[in-house]
Amino acid sequence: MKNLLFLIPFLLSQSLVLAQENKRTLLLNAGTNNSWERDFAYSPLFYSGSSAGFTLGYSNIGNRKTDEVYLHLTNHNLQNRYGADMRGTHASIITYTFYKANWLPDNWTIGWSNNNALSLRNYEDAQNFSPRFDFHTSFGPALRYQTFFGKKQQWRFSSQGHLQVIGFVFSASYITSPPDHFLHDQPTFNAFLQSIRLFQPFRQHDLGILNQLFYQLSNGNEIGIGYRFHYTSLESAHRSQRSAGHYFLQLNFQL
Amino acid sequence: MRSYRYFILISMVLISSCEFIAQPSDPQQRPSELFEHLWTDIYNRYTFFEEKQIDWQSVKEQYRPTIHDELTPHELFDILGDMLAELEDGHVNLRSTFNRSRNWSWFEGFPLFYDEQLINDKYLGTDYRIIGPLLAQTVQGMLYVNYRSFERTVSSEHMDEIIRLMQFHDGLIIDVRSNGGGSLQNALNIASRLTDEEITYARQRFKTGPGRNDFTPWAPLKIKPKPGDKYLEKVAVLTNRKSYSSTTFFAQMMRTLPQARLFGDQTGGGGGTPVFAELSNGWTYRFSGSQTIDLNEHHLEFGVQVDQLLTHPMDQISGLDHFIEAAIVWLKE
Repeated sequence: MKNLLFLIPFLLSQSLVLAQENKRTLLLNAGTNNSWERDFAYSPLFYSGSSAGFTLGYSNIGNRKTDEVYLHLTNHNLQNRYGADMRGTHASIITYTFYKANWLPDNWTIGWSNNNALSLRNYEDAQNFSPRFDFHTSFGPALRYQTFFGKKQQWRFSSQGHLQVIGFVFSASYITSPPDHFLHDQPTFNAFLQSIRLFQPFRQHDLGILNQLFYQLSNGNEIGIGYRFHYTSLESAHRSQRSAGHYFLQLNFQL
Repeated sequence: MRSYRYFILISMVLISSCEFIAQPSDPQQRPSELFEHLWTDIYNRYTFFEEKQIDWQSVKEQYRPTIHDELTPHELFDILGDMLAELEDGHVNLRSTFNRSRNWSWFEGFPLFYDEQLINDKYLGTDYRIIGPLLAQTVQGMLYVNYRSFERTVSSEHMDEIIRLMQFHDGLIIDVRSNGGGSLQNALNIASRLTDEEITYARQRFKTGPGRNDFTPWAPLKIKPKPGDKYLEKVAVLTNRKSYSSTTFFAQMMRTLPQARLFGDQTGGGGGTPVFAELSNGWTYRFSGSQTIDLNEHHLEFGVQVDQLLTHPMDQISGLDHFIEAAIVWLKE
């Protein structure tokens, strides 16, 4: 019940922001996702591979403020150098808010970002305590460069990045899949609260880069290509690291 | 305009493939580093050093001098396997593509009192029922059920059939001798149909850090009755030294049920839940990452004692299985 009290105002504030009278766009992309991952609780080896990745997004562009939300989903089979398999699932919701600051050059905006990401890892040879998982919510500054070019300014290039070092992590325990506090004889909500670990400097961080090039069609929609890079390092009961490069084709629909 | 294009082009090229730039290299695979990694992980996460009075530091001093970088993979495997065998734990193994190390002292050297040929010839016969993984036959008015591996799933439908058959029998014998374990859920699936109330049968805790006392608090392990008909009359359970891991947990469950009685020899143990991990050369290993105690605070790692010990040579009956015969006598009482 307590977590609902936090969640509802948060969702309301998000929807109010998006409901302003601005240029609103629905974003859809799909493409190849190259990723690697390492969880020291199981192995010092990293697991890597390629798979399909999908993103659903929404942007709300105003005169001085831009809001973006991206929902990413990837399912992948990764392998270590000896061919052992790890089946992973990544899901994340990333938000960006950019502001046009007077002191910045015309093409630049600055703001903040929030990432809520879940990673599940099923190791082929681990018969117990699989999957291991991390969930983290993190916040940090974001910066964006955007320019239009072409005879009719129909081309648009944008590059944005974030670095998040504030947040919390909720992850598998030293031994088991559920966090330690879920193994105690106590209510689930108490266990959840006790399992949350705040980010500490240099021990947990999340960074990302998003490069996109679009061509505007006559109806105002856009088609484009892009590359999204992401790197996360989380130290909780054990350290886990992961990174992905998502090469995609994207369609933007004006709403 | 041209400068923009250059900027875009350079940005797209430079910032692509960052995932490969950020990718770390795998750690070294020299024997000394593999030894250190394995020894340290066991030191940090294994759970029975104190209970077994094992000085892992002295084990290191014993084995470390034998490690050098010219060792062949087979030689290194043997040394690491011997080091792990010092833990005397059936849930500890090192696995490569060419071998799997183990310590099976929990049953090797003990008589098992389990002759599968005799069971087949004298008790199961040829017309026994095959109810999923359960082999069932009527023996002197009792239902004899042989379950050979907890790796094979016992469903609620299988238990429905066992409970239905009990209408026509005077007692139930569950034979889990030489059952090396598998899924704990299968043990619960059986036990939960033999009680109509929630029962705590043991307590368990997990390692939470590298310190010797870094454990979660003890948490109860419970049998919770499942929907469906129950059998609440006498149940005899047969175990031996090769009844291990989930079978030990099953024996402990049955020991807490008031209408159940254990016959034969104590189980082999296996009270620590195995945790799996990998070395940087691709070999995998496992070790016990938890402790489980019964209601009298005895560790299940050392086995569950039976109510009626039948290991004395005088207990044996020529041409018959004396565990089954003793169970039948008790069920008829």
